Amino acid sequence: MRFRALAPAFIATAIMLAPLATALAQSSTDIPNLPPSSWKPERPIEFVVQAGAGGGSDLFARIMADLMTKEGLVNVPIKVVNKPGGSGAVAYAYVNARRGDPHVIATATSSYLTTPIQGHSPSSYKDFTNVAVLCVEDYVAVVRSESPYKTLKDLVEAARQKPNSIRIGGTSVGSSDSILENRLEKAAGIKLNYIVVQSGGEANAALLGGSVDLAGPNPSEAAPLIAAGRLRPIAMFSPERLENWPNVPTAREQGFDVTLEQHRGVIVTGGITEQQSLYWQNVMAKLFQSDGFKKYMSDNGLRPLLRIGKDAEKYVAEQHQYYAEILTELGIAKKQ
Amino acid sequence: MFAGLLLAAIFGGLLWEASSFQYSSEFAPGPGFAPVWISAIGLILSLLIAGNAWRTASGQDHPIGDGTEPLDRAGLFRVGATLIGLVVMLIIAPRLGLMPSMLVFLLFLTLAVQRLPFLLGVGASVATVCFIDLVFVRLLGVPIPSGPLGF
Amino acid sequence: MEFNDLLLGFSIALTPTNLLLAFIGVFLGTVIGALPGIGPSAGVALLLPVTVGISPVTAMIMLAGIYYGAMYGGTITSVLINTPGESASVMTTLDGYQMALKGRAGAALGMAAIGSFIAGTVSVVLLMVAAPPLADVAVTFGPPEYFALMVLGLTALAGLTSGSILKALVMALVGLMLGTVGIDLMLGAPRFTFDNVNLLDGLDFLPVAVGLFAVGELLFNLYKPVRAEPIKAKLSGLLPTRQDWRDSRGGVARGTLVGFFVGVLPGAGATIASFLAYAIEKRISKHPEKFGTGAIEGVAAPESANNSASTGALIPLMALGIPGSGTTAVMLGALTLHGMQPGPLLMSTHPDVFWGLVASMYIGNVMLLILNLPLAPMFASILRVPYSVLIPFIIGIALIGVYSAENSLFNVGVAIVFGAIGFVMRLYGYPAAPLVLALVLGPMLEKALRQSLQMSLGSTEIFVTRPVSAFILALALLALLFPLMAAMRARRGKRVLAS
Repeated sequence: MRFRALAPAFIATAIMLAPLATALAQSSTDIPNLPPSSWKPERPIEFVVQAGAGGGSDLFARIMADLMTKEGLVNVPIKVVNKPGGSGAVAYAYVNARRGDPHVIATATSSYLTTPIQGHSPSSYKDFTNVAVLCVEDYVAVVRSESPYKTLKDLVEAARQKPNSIRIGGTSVGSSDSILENRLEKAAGIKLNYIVVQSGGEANAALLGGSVDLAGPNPSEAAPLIAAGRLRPIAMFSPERLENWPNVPTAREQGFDVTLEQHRGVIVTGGITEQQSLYWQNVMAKLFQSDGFKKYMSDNGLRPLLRIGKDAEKYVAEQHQYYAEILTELGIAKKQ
Repeated sequence: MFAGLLLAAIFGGLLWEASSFQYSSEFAPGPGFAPVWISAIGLILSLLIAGNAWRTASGQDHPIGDGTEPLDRAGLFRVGATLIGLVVMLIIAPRLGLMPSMLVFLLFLTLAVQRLPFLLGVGASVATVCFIDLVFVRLLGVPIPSGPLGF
Repeated sequence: MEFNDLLLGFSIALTPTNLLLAFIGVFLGTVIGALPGIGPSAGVALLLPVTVGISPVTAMIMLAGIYYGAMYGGTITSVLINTPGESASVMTTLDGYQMALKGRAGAALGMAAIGSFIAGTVSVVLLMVAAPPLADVAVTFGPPEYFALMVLGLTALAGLTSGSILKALVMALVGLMLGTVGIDLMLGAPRFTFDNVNLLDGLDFLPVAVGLFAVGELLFNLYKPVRAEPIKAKLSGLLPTRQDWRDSRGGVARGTLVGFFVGVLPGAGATIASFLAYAIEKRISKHPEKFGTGAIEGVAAPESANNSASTGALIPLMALGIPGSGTTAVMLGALTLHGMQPGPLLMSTHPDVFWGLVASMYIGNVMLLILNLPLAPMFASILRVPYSVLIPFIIGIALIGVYSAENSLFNVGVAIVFGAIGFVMRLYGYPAAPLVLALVLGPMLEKALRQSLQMSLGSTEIFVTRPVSAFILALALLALLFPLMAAMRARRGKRVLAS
C-alpha cells in the first residue's frame, strides 16, 4: 500500500501565486466571445489526472468529466485516468508522448510549473496547449485554539524574540507551504523552523498534536477543524478578505505583504490545430458557466477565475516566471 | 561467496553515490545521512557473508536444496527464457495492447517453456486473459493500454 | 455513545440497499485482497467513481467494506502461493505457506478468518465507544514517538527468519536502501533516481513485493519444481482443530489489541501492526523455533492485527478528518466527493454516516466470516490443481494487478526485475520478508528521525525527554538485549557442559 502517491488527499501540494497585475487587468469571471470550432472529437477522450484517486485534482477532473457529459458539451465518452507520481512528472510525460492527439487532456495545477522548474520533469508548460484556467484556491494561516497567538502579529512578534521557536508544518520544499514560509519570513524579517510533513493530513495531525505551531492549508481543508473550535485562523493570504470568511483579516492588513493562491486549469497535448484548441476553449467556457461547476466551486471553497485560450497561455507564462524566481531564491530551481 | 561479493559491490557502489549527497541540513540529518550509513553497514555485512562462505567451504554458496547440488543449466535456461519473454511483453504492450501481448507471452510460457500439452497450455492462457479482462477491465474499469484492434 | 445512535445506525445499515452494498463491498474487498498486486488502497480508488451516484453513507459502507474485506482476502494468496495479496499480509506468508505445504492450508485460512472476525468485531466496539478521545491521543504521537515505534519494529526484524541472521540483516539493509530511492522529502534532492520520472516518488511497495514473492517463486518453480505433486489434503484437515484454537487464542487477543492501537496512529498502519503482532508472538512463545515452519499462531496474530488496524485507522478519519494511510486518504476523498466535510463535527452533523458505518461493520464482519469459512477449504482445493497449470494464471493476475494500482507499465517492469532478483535470492537462500518490511519501515524511520531533530533544532534529547518515545525506545532496547542475553546464557551453559 503506498502512502506517497495517494497522500495528497487535500492536494494542497502545489500552488500558484497570481500577480496582482493580472487580476486587475481583467475581471475574473468575464466570458470571452469565442467563435465556434469546426472540429469535433472522433474517439473517446482520455482525461489524465496527475494525482491518485480521491484527491483534489481527481475530484476536479471527475466533476468536470461528469458535467461535460451531462451538459452535452462533449458527445464522446470521457475516461478519467489517474497517473500519479513524481509530482506530476509521470502524468505530463505520458500526455506529452501523445503529442498532437487532441483527445488527450489533463488537469493542471501549480506542480505543472514547479516540478519542471526544479528539473524533475522532462516536459514544460511550453510543450502543451494551455486551454483554460478555471479557478484558484487560497491559503490561510492556522494555529491550535489553545495557542497564545491570536493574530499573525502576535506570532511574528514571538518569532522575532526567539528565532526558530515557532514551528511551521508543510509539505516538501518547493510546495506552496514552503513558499508561504519563505515569503512570510522575508516580509516579517523572521526565522521560522520548517518541519517537512508528507501530506496536508499529516500537517493537520501535527498541528492538533502540538508537533508544529502553525500551518498554511487551504480554507476548505481547515474549515471543519476551525468550525469545531480546534483550530484558529489568524491570517488569510488572499489579496482581500474572502466572502465566506469576513472575520479573518488578510496578512496584508496585518502589515505583512504575503499573498498566495493556486490555480486549477486544463491542458491539451501540444501540436494540435487552431480549431482543435478552439473546441476545448469553447467546452471549458461553457463548463465554467454551468450550475454544476458553480456548485462545485462554492462547495470546495474555490474562487472563480476564468482565463481562456491566449489569456490562459499568458496567465500560465506569468506564473511560470514568478515561480522560477521564487524557487531560484529558495535554491531548488535547476540551473539553466 | 559469489552472492556476498555481489552484494558488497552493490553496497559499495551505492555508498560511493550516496557520499555525494548532502550529509546534513541546518539542524537535522540531510538526504545523504541514511544512505551513507545503510550502505556502509551493508558493505561490512556483505563482506562478512563472503568471508564466512570462503572460510567454511570450497568458496561456493550452497544453492538451496540439499546444499551440494550444482546449478541446473536447463532450469536456468527456462528461467532466462521466461524473463526475456516478460521483457518482450513489456516492450510490445504499448503498441499491441496489454491483453494481446500478455496472451502471446502466456502461450510462449506454457507451450515453449513449460511444455504443457497443447490444449492445456492454450486453455490456461486464454482462460487467464479472459478472467483478467472480465475482472480488471470490465468490472473494475482499469484503463489498460489497448492496441490497434481496440483491446 | 447513545444506545439510540446505534439503533439509528442499524436502521440505516439494515436497509436492503445498504445490506447489498455492504455485501458487494466485503466481497470485492476479499477478491481485491486476494489478488496479488492490487491492494485495498487501489481497490477503494478504483471503485470510488462508481459510488458517485449513491448516498454518502452507502458509499462509505461499501468502501469501508472493501478496506476490511481486503484484510481477510490478503491471507488467501499469502497462504496458498506464498504471495502477500497486500502489504499487511507479508507476515502471514512466513507460517501460512509452510502450513499449506504441510497440507494444512484450510486450517490456516479458517483460523485467519476467525481471528479476523474477532479482531474486526472487537475493534468496531472500540471505534464505537471511544473514537473521539482515541483520536485526540493519537495525534499527540509526534515524530519522536514514530521514530521510537519504527526502531522497535526494526529490532524485531532480526528475530524474523529461521535461517541465517546475517543474511536477513543484509536483506533488511537492501530494503532500507531501496526505501531511500526517490526525491528526498525534506530538501527535494533526487536520490538514486537515474533521471527517471517514474522513480521520483520512490519504489512502490507492491511491485517489489509481487516481484520478489510471486514472480520469484514462479521462476524458482520453473527452475526446479518444488511441488510437482498436487497437495492431497484430507478433508478433516480443512478447518482449524480444537488444538489450533487453543494455540491461537492468545495470539488473536494480543494481535487484536496491538493492531488496533497501532492502527489508530495516523502515521503507522496495518503493515506495522501485523509485523509487531508477529514479533510479539514469537518473542513470548514457549517454542519460538516453530515460527517459520508453520505455527498457526504465526498466522492468527498478524491476521487479527491487520484487521483491527484497518478499523482503528477509521478513527482519525471519522473523528478528525485526518487520513492515516493511502486507503483512508481515498475514503476522505470519497466523503468530500459526496459533499461532506470530514472533521470533528462530522459525527454530530451527519450521525447517519458515522453510525450507519459502525453498524454496517458489525454486519460486514459477520458476512465475511460466513463468506470465508466455507470458502477456506474451497480456496485450499486450488492447491489440488497442478502447479504448472496455475503458473500462467498467477503470473497474469500478478502483473495486471501491479499495473492497475497506478496504471503504470513501469511498475510491471519493476515487478519483473524484482522477480529475477527474487529468484536469485531463493537460489542462494536469502529471505525476502526482511527486505520488503524494511522497505515499508525505512522511509518512515528516516522521515521521523529527521523531523524530530528538526523540531529539537538538532538535540537528540527529544527522544528521551518525551515519556512515550522514551518508553517505546526502552522496549526496543529490551527486545534487542533479551535474545542476546539468552544466547550468551545458552553458550555459557554449553561451555560448562563441555568442560
